[in-house]
Amino acid sequence: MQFNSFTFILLFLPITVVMYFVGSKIRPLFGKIILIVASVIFYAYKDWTIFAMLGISMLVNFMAAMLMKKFEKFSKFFMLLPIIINVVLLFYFKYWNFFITTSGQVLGKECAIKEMIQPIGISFFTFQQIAYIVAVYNEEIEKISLIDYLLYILYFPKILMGPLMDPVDFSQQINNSSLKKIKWDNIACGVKIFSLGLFKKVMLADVFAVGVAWGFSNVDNATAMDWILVMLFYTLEIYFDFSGYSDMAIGVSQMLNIELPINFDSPYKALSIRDFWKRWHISLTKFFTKYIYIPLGGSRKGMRLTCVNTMVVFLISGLWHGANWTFLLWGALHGIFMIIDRIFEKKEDEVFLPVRWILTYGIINVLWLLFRADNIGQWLAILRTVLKMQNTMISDGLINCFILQETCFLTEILHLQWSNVIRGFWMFVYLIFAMGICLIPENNCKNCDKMSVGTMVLAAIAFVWGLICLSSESVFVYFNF
Amino acid sequence: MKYKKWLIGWIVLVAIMLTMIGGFVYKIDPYLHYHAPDTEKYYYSLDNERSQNNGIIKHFDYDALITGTSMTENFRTSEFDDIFDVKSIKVAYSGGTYKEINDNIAVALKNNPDLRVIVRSLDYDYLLSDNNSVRTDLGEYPTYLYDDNPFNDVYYLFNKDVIFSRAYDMVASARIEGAQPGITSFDSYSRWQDEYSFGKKSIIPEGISVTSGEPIHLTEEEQNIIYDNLTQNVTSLADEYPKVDFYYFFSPYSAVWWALHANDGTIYRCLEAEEYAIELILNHPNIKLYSFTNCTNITTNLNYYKDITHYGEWVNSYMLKAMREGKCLLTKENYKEYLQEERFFYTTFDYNSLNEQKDYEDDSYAGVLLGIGE
Repeated sequence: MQFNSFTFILLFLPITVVMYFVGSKIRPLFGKIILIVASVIFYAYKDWTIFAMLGISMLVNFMAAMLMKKFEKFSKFFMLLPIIINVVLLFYFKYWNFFITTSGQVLGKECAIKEMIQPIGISFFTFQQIAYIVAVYNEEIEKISLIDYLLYILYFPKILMGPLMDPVDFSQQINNSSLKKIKWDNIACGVKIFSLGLFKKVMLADVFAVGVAWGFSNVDNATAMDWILVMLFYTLEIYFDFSGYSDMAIGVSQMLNIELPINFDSPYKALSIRDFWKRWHISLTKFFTKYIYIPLGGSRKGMRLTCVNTMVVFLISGLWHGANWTFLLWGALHGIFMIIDRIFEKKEDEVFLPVRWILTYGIINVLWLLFRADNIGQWLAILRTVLKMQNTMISDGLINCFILQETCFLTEILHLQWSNVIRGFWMFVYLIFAMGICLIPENNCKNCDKMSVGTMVLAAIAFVWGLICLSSESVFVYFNF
Repeated sequence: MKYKKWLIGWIVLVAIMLTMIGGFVYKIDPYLHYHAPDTEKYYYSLDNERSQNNGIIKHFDYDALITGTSMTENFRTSEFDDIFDVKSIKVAYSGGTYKEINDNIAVALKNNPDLRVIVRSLDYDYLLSDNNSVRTDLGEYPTYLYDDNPFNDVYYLFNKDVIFSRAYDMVASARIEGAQPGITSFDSYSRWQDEYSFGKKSIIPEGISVTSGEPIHLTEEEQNIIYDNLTQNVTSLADEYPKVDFYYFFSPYSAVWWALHANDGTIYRCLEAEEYAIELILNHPNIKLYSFTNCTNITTNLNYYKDITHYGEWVNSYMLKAMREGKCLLTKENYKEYLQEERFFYTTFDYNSLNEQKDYEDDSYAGVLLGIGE
């Protein structure tokens, strides 16, 4: 089930919130069971069979956690075994075909690709499993509870796309008796964050996505100016898509009195790539830092090893994002820029701030383009088109992506009829509006307790506008024609 | 501001906005889901069969309907009304299976006791489809418009496309000076005639090669599929509504369609499937079954077609007149002769001769040959 669906918003969410608090009032255990059941429904709503893989993964990890407690002498073995199984499963489902294809290319042989259904959210729940196992090994979780474990892994606001959460923090919150009662401040904050997150996802990310899709379906015809815009649009799309989703997750969880960690902190305000990674997908960065960077030695063993550790983390991060060379190169380049930032940190501080911002934002844009490209060759070809700057026209196709259904309505009520003569007016309005959201206000989660009439009206409009985007006209394509 | 007050304010605002939006869509009702169109005030564009046909069926005043696949989209209801002395609607379903079309006829019969004549195409291509198959490859079906569940109407009432591109657009257009309210005529609804060119260049620009495949015959299993499909989706409604006249016809596909089946040997299966279907249908007295496949002056002249199966509006006009006059009507007495003639023609026809055909300079000349148009 998706957050941005009628079923979730109008049915699943209100019923789950009410039942959770009613259940918790009767007995805290009932509340937890209700959340587990709701999470299973949420996860397997479209297809119950996809739950099988997650079920097996949970069985293996929980058994290992139990054995770790029971046979303390072999605790390291019972910690490593499920981690290896988790990583192998992740590798199999996510990277096997990439591995096979690449091996085939190297060996000059054609290898058959295996058709398989990748369990949704595997990248996230695998990391949550690892976090849980390590927490048990480190004795951060003293008492193992099946219900708490299931709830930690399955908890529906975060199961599909995070934010990744520390199991100890989750366990403390879910067992805190003062959080079992309905809290109107959390409901209100949750509603506000969810409304704004929904708007970000369906009114910003999804619209920019149309422009980006236009670019990548016109690779040969798009002009240099088109590509500059498409690059900007993708940078905005990926941010609003993921941060919109994270906001919705955080908002939903807040209604249930569980505070999920903040995932985005105005990342496009970053003044360096290091700064960017402190603001972008924060929960993932923290995970890599805790479970890879620090165990490797972090920055404690000299500059050379720090650089090596940074590269290792970013190569893994790149690969985690997808099974393609583009992701690996994307991770490697981010790693390199991280190292450059670390080496020239003091000198960078002396650079005029707007220049630092432009450079950082430019690098982020170019690297997002690589992230989106089908292959490295395509990325380089697009960059060549941009650098040659032979055609600065903006194509009609790209401009038309921003003529939305509500454009006529907005033109009329805002008396913008004069704008009809300005080519690409709505595209630039969209771009400026989106950039404004990225650069001016504080992050939604940080702002969440600001409750004024203005925020109420804004959240209500964002919610309703987001809601009406969830359904569209069914258009039938008769392929015989 | 206190959190509770903020929350109550948010709920009230959202409720007001959603009520206004839902009420607005309900009032204009571009898909005709709730009521008949307000053609005194707004102009209703009919251009989305799956979204609007159900509303047309339920809320229009008619006593006859034309339905079927794209084979019926070029029919003109004005012509049908004149010839059959009826007041008709046209509700076609591009690429629709027998089940989809039958389900919608059932809705029409249930909702409109005045309905007395139904004209429907029967596509050879779907004879061997499963009795419950529907086209899931064409797009997401707006099932919320077809069921009796009022809750899933949110997909219609709170639908950005419907709100802005349909309802608001209709209101805005109505405000323009000189704007005429009304509705798309059924002559124009679904019509694709003017969007295509006809003739050999459109159908087989590279020509057609003729081979002779190993004969493939209808199996018993396939016969059972046809039985289930026709019993459920063609004949059952005729039995349920004995006072209604069902004019069913096999669409005349072009000779190229037959050539392709002759090439791979499935022509025998097609002929046997048709024979079995005819035998099943003729047992129902209120179904008048027509076939124009033996009108070889049409099927072998590619100037009547835009592709291997789709014929131009001239053929639709011709068929309406023929049905009224009882031409090409299959009966228990003549169907064997019809089948024999059909089998002989399409298994012996020199399909290579199609490569020699010349396209008419003006497509409409095809109509003149049939006595349609000028």
